[in-house]
Amino acid sequence: MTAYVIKRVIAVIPVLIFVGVLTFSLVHLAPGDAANIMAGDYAGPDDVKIIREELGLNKPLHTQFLDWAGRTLRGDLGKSIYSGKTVAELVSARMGPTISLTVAGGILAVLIGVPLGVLAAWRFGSIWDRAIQVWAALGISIPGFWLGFILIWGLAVSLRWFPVIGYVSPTEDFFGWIRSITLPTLLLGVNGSAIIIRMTRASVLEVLREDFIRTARAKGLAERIVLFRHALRASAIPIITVIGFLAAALITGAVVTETVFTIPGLGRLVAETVQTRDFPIVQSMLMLLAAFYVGVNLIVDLAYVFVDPRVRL
Amino acid sequence: MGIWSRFLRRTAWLVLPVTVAVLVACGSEEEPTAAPAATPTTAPAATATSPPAATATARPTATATTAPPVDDRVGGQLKVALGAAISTLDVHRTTGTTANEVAFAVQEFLFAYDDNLAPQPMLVEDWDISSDGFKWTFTLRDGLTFHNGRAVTAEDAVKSWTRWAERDNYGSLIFGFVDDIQATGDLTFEIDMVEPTALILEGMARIGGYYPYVMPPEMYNVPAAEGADVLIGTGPYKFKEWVPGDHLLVERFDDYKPVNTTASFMAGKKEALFDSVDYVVVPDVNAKIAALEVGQIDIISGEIPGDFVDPLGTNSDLRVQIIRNNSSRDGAWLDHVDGPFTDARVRQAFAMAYPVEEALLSAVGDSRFWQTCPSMMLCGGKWGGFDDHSDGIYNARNSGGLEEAKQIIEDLGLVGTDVVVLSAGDRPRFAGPAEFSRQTLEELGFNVDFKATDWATQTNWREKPELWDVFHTAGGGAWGANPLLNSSLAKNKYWNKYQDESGRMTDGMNRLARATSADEQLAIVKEMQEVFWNDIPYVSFGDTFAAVATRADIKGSETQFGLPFNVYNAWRE
Repeated sequence: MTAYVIKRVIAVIPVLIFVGVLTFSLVHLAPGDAANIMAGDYAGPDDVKIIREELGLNKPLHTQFLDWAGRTLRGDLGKSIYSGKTVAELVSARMGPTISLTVAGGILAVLIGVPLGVLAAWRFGSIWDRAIQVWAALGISIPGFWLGFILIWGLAVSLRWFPVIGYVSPTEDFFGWIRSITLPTLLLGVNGSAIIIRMTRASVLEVLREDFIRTARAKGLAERIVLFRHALRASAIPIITVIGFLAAALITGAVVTETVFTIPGLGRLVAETVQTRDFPIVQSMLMLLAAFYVGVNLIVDLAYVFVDPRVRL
Repeated sequence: MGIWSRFLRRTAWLVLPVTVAVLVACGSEEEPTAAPAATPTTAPAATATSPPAATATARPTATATTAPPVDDRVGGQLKVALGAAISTLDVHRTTGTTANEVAFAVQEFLFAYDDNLAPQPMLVEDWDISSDGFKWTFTLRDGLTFHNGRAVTAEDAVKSWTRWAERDNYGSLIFGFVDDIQATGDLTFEIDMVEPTALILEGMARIGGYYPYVMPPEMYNVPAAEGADVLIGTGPYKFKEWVPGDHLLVERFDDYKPVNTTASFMAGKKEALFDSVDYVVVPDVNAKIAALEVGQIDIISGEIPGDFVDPLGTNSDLRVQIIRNNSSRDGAWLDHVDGPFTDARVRQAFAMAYPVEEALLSAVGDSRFWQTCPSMMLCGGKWGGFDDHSDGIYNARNSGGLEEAKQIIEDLGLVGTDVVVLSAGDRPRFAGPAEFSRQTLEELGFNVDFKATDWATQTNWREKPELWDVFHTAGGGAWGANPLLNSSLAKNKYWNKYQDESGRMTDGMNRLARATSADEQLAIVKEMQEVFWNDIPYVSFGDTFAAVATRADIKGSETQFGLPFNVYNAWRE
């Protein structure tokens, strides 16, 4: 397995090169640049020209690419055109909120999604099944930003149970941290649970028709044991796969969640830097997200071994 | 197992509500205090022209304040919501408003504008101009210190002002008159002129564009292109902490030495009555307003959409104001170097046919948020409010303007000509008028290519004249009040690339820069207005007003002229 892990890690390198070239091309071919944004609305052509020269944005594209590639290969991901802060500084400052939200949202999605998916499969065709399917359909179809505003309006503005905006670090105030991430976590959990419910239901339904389940029931095992120890375990691989995708989706979905709840995390960093065409940060963030996706896929593959002894890597 | 397991199973349903209750109890916000009922308030329309102010004014009178005793107002934290992230601590890197909103509290000018837009001394104690106008001498106030404890010197003033002039259009204009500027003592510096101008004090009080703050060497020794990574000034609040994208915190500067004159706009006495001011970045307008309603923030910076004003006005905890003395000029900018608008007659025809009132309505809301204004400069400014030479062109659509415009386009053989209208969909204020531009141009017979995109893309496209014919934007403050600061009126200086074929606008600028009396200045501006309505550098719609919302218990934050609120001299009642 060690050889497999090493092989997979090495395989990340061409992926990152591809993503790097692609993102560099996309962000530089898209109209608009930082010089215009930085100069401000009152600035004229002369002001913008000066700033563009100062930032090196007037250099030919291939020169800019070689500059960037050389720096990246040396481990220098660049710094913000505006604040002058390095990517490492910005990412480390913004990572805490995003990790909090992603982990909490992911856990909540699993805690809601897996039991409800199993219940829907177990009570296939019943009112429970239909209600859970409606929940899943709503969870998938309701836009995150809309649900976010409903949560803010209901629980933060009307009832004033939670803050409308902002994030509190757990080291600063633990209960404040819980309060600040509750609404975004609910949003991520509800949206994320929908896809888990559907996958769990379909997977468990299929397994429940297998012979070994009939055998387990014939042996007189309790339904709870049949469901959770036999059926769920046998259905686990597709569920783990979808949870893996969900983890990656939660990170990228943070762009919306963090904007709606004004959480200063990586998602907002991406949104801000795209709007302001802060190219070094956009490029580095996209590469980091790509690396995260690849890493999650690797972890999912490794998880298969532990869940299903038949899988060999 | 057994009893505990069963207990836990049976009580598990209680966990969620109990947890919520505990969390709520642990951290519930203090209920906002009741405040007198507040409805959207509007100041009287500013249609009348303010008398032009002299550029070098007499010293202001000593303080005479009727506010409550200072001690009752001191303390607490003010939370301000910014609409966009603060991009840099160095205001000489950007003309963006958020960086400057913070710097207003931390840094100060040599001179500052008062309520009449007249420059008043701020860090300067005394100044003198030679009888021939060729030498200015300035003396700084004694005992001023920066927030890092360093004494403010004349060298700091000279180097800060020079750094500003290298970035700013107005600075480069003024330095065209300057022969030499040098510190002649710890607190005195002199400016030798190539020729006299009345613009020196205006340049030291400049608002809009880049701001001429006085900085310590830690800032002015860093090239503006690179940007200083510290924020140090002499103002009532000092920089404490910046988390990019999240917030910036300033706290009271205990050694602040205010000027002892009555507070008036940006001039006069400043007091830091809050212990600290936290500028929180809240990009989403809905989140911003919700946070204001529950008391998580105290002031919303920037524009509040017009349709939010009335609902917010019904909340007695809030005070919503439409600031009618703090206007901007909205309009359609035309391409003067490529396409049909190179011809002044076509530009005039477009202006005649333009439905300015409908465009203003679509941009900012009902008539409380705008006023038509037939003058080249803002009606609320010292050089605006008169309608000379606008008759038949401005807001003339329904008085024969549309028909006349159609005839002009037909006579010029331009029916069916392609024109490109840019629309920035992420800026509703400009997207609405863009739609009216499309409709108007189609009515005139043009074949319109309507390109909807985002603002960042539009800023890039407008650099290339072949990619557009019309785009929309707005400008406020000194940009809209002073023709010398309005790059759209200068030859080839803004994206419209105004050509000033007659040379009369440029001549007016040159004479205005050299004029030494207010009457002379006003006469020149009126002459320039004739050129404006003849040449149509851009189609001017009118003046628009922003709405500011604060918690009702915040007092003293009201202000004007491109500064949406004060954090100094503001307190919580």
